[in-house]
Amino acid sequence: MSVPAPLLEVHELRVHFALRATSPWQRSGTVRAVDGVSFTVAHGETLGLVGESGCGKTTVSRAVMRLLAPTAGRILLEGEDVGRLRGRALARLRPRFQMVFQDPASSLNPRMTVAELLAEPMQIAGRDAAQIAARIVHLLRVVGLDPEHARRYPHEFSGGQKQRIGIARALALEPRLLVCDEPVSALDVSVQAQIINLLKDIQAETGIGCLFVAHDLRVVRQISHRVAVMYLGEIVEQAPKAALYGAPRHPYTRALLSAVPQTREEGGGERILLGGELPNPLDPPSGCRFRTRCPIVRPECAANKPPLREIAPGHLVACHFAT
Amino acid sequence: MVVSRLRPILEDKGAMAGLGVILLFCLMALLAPWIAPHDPTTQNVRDAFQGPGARYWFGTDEFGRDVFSRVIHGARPALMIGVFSVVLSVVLGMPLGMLAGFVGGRFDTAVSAVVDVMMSFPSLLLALMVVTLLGSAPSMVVLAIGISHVPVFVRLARSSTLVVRELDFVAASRSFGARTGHILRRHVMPNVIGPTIVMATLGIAGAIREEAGLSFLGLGIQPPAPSWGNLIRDGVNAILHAPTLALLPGLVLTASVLAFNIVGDSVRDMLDPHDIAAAAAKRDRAR
Amino acid sequence: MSGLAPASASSPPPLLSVRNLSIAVEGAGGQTVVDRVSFDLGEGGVLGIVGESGCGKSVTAMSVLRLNNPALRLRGGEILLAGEDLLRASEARIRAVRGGEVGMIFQEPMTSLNPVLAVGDQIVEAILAHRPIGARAAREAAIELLGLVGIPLPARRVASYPHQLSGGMRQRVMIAMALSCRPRLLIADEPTTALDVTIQAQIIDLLRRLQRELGMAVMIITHDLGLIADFAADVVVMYAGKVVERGATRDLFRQPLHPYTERLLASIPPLDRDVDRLTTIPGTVPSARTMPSGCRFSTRCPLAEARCRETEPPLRTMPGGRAVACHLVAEGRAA
Repeated sequence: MSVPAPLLEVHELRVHFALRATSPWQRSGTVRAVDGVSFTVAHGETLGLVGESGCGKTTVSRAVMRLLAPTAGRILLEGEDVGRLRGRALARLRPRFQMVFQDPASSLNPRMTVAELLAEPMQIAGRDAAQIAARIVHLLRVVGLDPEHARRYPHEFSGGQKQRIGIARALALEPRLLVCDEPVSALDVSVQAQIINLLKDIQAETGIGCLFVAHDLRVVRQISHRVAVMYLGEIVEQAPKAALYGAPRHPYTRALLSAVPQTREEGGGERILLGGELPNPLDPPSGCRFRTRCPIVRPECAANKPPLREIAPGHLVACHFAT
Repeated sequence: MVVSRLRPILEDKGAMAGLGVILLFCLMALLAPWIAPHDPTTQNVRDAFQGPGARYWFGTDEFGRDVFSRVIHGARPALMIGVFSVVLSVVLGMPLGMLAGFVGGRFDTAVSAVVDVMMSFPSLLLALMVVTLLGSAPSMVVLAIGISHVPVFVRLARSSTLVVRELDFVAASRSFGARTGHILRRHVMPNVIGPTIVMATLGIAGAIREEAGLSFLGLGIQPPAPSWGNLIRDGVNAILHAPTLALLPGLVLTASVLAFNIVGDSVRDMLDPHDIAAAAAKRDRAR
Repeated sequence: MSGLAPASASSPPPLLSVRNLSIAVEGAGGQTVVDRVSFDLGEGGVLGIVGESGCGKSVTAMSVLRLNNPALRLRGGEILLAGEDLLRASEARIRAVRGGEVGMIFQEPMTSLNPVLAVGDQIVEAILAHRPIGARAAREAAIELLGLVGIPLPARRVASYPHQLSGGMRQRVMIAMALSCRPRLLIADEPTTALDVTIQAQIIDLLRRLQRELGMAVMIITHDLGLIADFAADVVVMYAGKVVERGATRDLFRQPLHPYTERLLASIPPLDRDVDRLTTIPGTVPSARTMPSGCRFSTRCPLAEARCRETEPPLRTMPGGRAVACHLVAEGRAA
């Protein structure tokens, strides 16, 4: 019996940006924002993609959504290569993968009512008016809003409610994959918890698959089944969340986890304070890209790039010394 | 909702005065044959060069024509050309600017290059060239002035589009599979139209001035039909012994340009949310 | 412990004492954004002010240096710095305090730094504004400060422009500027919110080291409870413009008394275990129009009774120095 194809399979994805110098003292070159990233998301599963700003996680999400064109690699959605499709062929597949954006204030057109916002994807997909009206009521109920709210404008809602509208809109076309780009980072902690619970409920009910991009390791733990950690355009570690949070193998993952401020009850282990900052992406370090900040760096790290290898079932690490 | 958005303009005395003046000129243009005391083209040489008085409010010109009646009739080409030429510039300029800003790339480079070249020309000179080539029928004057103002609207629409293009609701629309046309209509245009209306109001003032300029140079409305521009030109020829002949039509022209400018500024305050505080402060000061 | 309860007659006065501070939006019927807020911060102590957006924590912090938006008006109270009321001090005096006895750092260092001046020049300017020394000595002092805040090669970095530095480095420069006159109090308003977690850890580590080495008091304003637990000895929890609870951080995190504090702590997603459903606080913070007349948290409180909606609970000091504003806690019926 063959293994069924995963919902999303990203294979050796690369997204490079040509940076043209706009003044004589600027450097031109190629930013390898995403440089050979591979992962899968199964039906009903959430993969958390974490990393600090500039690591390429948002670029991955935008490439998967085909809001920008990948430089190389494959993006297979239920076996179809959405990375290569364009125009009508791509538009036909769009309903299957939808996105929740970081800032609901910017992702909801302030001049449109909630009903118009929710109707837009369905109109583009060619649904008829009666169907759309019924679905709007349903969607508002699903995300915990009152159908009466349909006539209001986004500015009449709080941040958490706006994000509920954003989620309702992403669900309008009944997608199988939801790409969430920092969906709760603009929200207060108590509201954050509401949205995370909502996303989990929706997944339990619909079996939707989710690529969840975030920088907050606490949030990612509570929503993901598996987690991938990115650094400077590459995945350095990927594992089921219990393994990743319980026994992180990559020195960067360890440092990242130890840097999260701990509440007293969590106590926290020893603190690993990373020196320095993210290297210039125009000129990444040779060998292992993390070596300039790595607490356990050795000479061979500069010479050889550590491959992402499986050290336990489902646990992948890109470090020469991980066991 | 509509009333609350209009409130700043309703409470702005300057803008209301400007609107009043514009309304007055519109009525003048519409009702010219009925309200003008004399026929604007009938010559009466015996009454040439009468000063302003009870019979001829603005006096008469070298052919004894009533200048007041000629000013009233002159409002017709001024407003017509002012409005139609700006409509033409908006209809051509806004879509082009939106498209250039949204699509980017070589199309944008080409459009921007043409716009830059046109902007480096004085627009009156540009209009002059068009009129010289195509003749000076009123429709050609509209075309000339309209085309010379297109670059302003291209630039405006393009720069607003560049801002809107980066917002996530455009990305969201694209992720639903929307085509460029849909995104431009649904998301970009509503954000471009506000600044365009402001610019258009100001543009009418500019176009009225330019029509007067062209007529002054003899390339606009052809005599004996009256226009503010050729009235001023005729007046200038006799400025030494009958200064009011140029002065009074000049004042009327100034009043109309000023009115459109004031209203344009006020509309900008009303539409630009960043300036709402400034508009409120202005209102408070006015009280 | 730096002593949060208002000082008694016998103990020395605290470095900073905020008493019954009330601030409202200008105009009759303007919304009260800070309502009778009181707390003390002792010499060399670290106090955290925590709360969600719109709770009034930043307005409170900005009031110390009178840097609030002019549309906000003082309605009452006093802010005593070593016994001197800053709210009633002269303009000249408050200018001397700003960047002198009290330094301040903000969330976004890019907008707080002048983009067309080298960072060294900006620090020199800050030094010359307060200290009677020559330009050369000020430059030496600037380099020394950059070294103190952990900027590598300070002698070279002094000539860098803000845009040439990363976010973390810019925040270090801001800290160096704030320290230029050896302040007794540093106010840090969301100092790490714009930074990545590993950089945040560096900055907090730096602040902790400076606070210890220089004996400087720090008031940190943040929405991040983890940061408070990690850094502040004492904490003030604010909700809708009021202090709902204050006390020693360790006790407060171990046993929160106010239902808001308790729920807020419970809604932090845990890092060390999985939970099926996160605890949430239903609803949203009331707006000026929907503000209840009684306890402001009563609209979202799971324990609220009729009385909570009618009368406002005063902030009562409990044994052990903890203060809580809740009817039920006062009667020992909650938490």
